[in-house]
Amino acid sequence: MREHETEKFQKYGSFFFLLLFGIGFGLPLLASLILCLVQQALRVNTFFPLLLVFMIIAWVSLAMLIGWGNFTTLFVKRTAKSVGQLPYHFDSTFSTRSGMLFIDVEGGMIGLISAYNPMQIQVFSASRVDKMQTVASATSGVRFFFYLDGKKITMPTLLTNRVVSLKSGIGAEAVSKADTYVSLLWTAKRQAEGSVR
Amino acid sequence: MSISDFLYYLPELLVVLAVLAAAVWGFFFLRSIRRDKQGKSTCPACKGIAEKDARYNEPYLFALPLSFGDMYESAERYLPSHMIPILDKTQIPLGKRACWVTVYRCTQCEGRHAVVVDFLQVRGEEHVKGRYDMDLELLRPLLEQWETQKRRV
Repeated sequence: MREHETEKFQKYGSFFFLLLFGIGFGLPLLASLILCLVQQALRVNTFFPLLLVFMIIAWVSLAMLIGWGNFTTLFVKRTAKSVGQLPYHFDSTFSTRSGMLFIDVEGGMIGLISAYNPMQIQVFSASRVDKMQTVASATSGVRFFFYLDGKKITMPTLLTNRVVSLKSGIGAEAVSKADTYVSLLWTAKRQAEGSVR
Repeated sequence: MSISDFLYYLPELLVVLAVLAAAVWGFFFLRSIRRDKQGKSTCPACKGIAEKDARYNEPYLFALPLSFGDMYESAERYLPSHMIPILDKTQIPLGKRACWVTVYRCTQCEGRHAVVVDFLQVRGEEHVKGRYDMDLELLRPLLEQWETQKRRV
């Protein structure tokens, strides 16, 4: 195993769940308490309905944020600032709602910040990735995926809720982006396997 | 015809002018498409038919340090200073753009101009990002650089 290499890929981190439950339960609880105390009406028949309403609002908002991919973007960007301190030359970077991917093609290493584990940069030898592929559909968008330690990671290059022709400017760009990163991953993998031999 | 008559018929006059302008524009647009299909171009100076210049008859291909859908403000300022001569499409780096340069000579005024077609190569197909008419003098050093590179190979 190389320097800074992560032993086991963790797509989900404890920070993500803490944040989720903090916002989903903690914030509504706090808001309900504060409102009841301010109104001097801290009773069961006041507190619990208020808590329920706030929890519904919080969970609907969370679902929207996670769906749009904005939930942990700030944390991912902050973590990404420390990539430069690693002893690798990540010359290709791809950012999407499921996280950020860094590829050091010559060194055969990849770095990953999962949107669901945004406080950690996970570094892997490219020999651990497999089955890289582009999937292009006019109805569901364009994405590429790969398997890391057997876990599938999908990175969309085009998300759409309407039909987009793959021959159009935006469709072709998305296909080109996905093909490029798939090719870079394969090249990094070959480099990593060649250096092991 | 008094001013009041003129104002009365003004909407109709405007519609007629708009239709005439659209017809003229349509004519020039179809003419440029027809000339493109015949492998010719329109001279920017006199609007005459320009044919491919026999002196610059090579398939001039240049790589650009742009990725995917990156844009630039002014093609005339950006392209001549960033084009890198390459000999075939296999040399285009993955995900990067490239451009073809074709030189035309006007059959009427003998003026020369270059047409630069900026494209993104996606799975063997060229997706055109922009088409620009440029003064040949801006690109002449690059074309000579391309020819020198080809002679070396």
